Amino acid sequence: MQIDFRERPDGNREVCKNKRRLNMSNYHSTFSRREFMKGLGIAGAGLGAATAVTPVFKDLDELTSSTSAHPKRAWYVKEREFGDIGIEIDWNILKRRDTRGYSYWNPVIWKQHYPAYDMDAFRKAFDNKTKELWPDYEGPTTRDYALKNSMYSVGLGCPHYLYNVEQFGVTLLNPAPRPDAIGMPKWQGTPEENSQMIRAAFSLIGLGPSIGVAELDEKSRRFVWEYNNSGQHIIFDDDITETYRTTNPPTIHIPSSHKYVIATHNMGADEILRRAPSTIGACTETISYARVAYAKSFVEQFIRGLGYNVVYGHSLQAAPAFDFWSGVGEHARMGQVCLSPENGAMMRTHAIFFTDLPLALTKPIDAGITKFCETCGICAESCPVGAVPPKGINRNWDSNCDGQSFDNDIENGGTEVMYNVPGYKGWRVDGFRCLADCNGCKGACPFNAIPDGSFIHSVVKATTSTTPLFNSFFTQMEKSMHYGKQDKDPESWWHEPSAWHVYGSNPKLLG
Amino acid sequence: MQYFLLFGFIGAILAIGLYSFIGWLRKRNMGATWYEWLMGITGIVLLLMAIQHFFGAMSELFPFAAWMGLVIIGVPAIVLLAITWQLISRRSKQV
Repeated sequence: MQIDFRERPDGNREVCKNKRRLNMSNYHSTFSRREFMKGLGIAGAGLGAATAVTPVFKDLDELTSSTSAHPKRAWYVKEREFGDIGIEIDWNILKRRDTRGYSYWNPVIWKQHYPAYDMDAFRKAFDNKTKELWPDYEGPTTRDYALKNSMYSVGLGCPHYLYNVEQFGVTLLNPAPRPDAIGMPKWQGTPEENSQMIRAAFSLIGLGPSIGVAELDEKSRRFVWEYNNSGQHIIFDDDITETYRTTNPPTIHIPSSHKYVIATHNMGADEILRRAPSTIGACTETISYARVAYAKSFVEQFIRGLGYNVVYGHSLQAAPAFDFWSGVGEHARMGQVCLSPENGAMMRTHAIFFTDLPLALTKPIDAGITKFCETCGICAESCPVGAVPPKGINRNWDSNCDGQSFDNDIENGGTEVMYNVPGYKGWRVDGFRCLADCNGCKGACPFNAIPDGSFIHSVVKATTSTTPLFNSFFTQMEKSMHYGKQDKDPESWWHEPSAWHVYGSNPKLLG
Repeated sequence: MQYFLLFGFIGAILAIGLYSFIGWLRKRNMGATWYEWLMGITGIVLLLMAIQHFFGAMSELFPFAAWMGLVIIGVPAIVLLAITWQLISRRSKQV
């Protein structure tokens, strides 16, 4: 387009200095001050319009004073009242569980409880699903196995590291001294200040960015097992300030003063996770356990150094319960997985801490996620063995574990150890089918979209949180736009430098 | 903030374009009708959305989604802008 300049009627010295411009005045002219200012105004409007569609960032004060579980929670994520997690709970049924005899992912004990246990059949189904998802994929190759096995050897398969995932774990040679030992006062901060401090400290060790805080009350105590699967009796003790255990009888004593529960995770390696189920797809899960085992010691020492006490609770409770209770995310079709509006199913190994450090509580949320799961079911389509309830199976009170019924619950006069928790109306994964490190479901979730990417995700999430009317359409668009796994065959990861994030996690997922 | 400079540049281009367009209309002593403004602004907004989606999806490492979105949002934007342009330019020839 030709730019048309109007001739200035008065002229000025600057213009007069340039004869050529004066001679060309029939064709060109200069801006008046008024027009210049008008132009600036329009430029400002243009810039405003352009930046309106770029990601919105909150200022630092707003960010640090936030008491929601995620530091950059969007306006469309609504807060629920404490105790309302968006699914029905029958408190007459949901009680502290006795999980003795329960063994998830332990083939030895598994076979005792589930004679049909068949790892070979699982592996075959797993490979078939890989082929179904990526027909042109020719792997796995040696390097795929090398990656998988090395991650496993230092992660989930490493007793030296993994031992620390248990409550007491390793004994540190140089524990952080308590304040009085170094002549310092016990840390005193408001709950809000303490929550900010926790966020800051956790960020250094690979926990977060979603960090929820729940109160351990009469109801939420029921998420904590009465007996864990190691046979330890978990006792809330009014008379102690520090946790301890006994071996005979096997007990873990948790001080009742530890009424603040911190719920967080280690972030998954997203580009690997999107390539599950495959040989390399489960790496993110296996290594995450070791990362959390390491982080756990740091948290214990940090809180000890402040002059407070903490108990780590990896196997003390149902994994995502405190996530829901504290607003980290919502219940989802995948059952055992918490879905966050910001990170979807990308959050890996959960880390739960019970502490007496006063913290600001974070409320449960409603981002429309559980509702979305009702009409989605993409995770179930990605499951090699049909362990995730498929689309069409709505939230229910049943076990969904092959051959098990809550009617036969050993805790209610039956004969079987239940592999799922009764007492809530939701979805449950079939623990007898979901046999090994797979991650097929988690990598498939539409909520795994990277934050601060396309504006489309914000529009979809905002709409989803407001009305379920378009949920089916959004599910279809997820598939049509190839936002799932279509273009993510496992081999492609090795050829995609932009997917090699440090620690495997896209920086935009980290805060 | 990754694309601040890009969108700043696009904003500047947009501002210069709009300013020139208004100047062009004034020079011919013409005005645009309300529906021409509506179509034009809608087209520009859609075009901006298409560009944002393209770069956003590329940064998420979903190139197919990026190109698909560019077509789905960008084509209607171009069509709207082309229609607006034609309506105005044909009228300008009559003036």
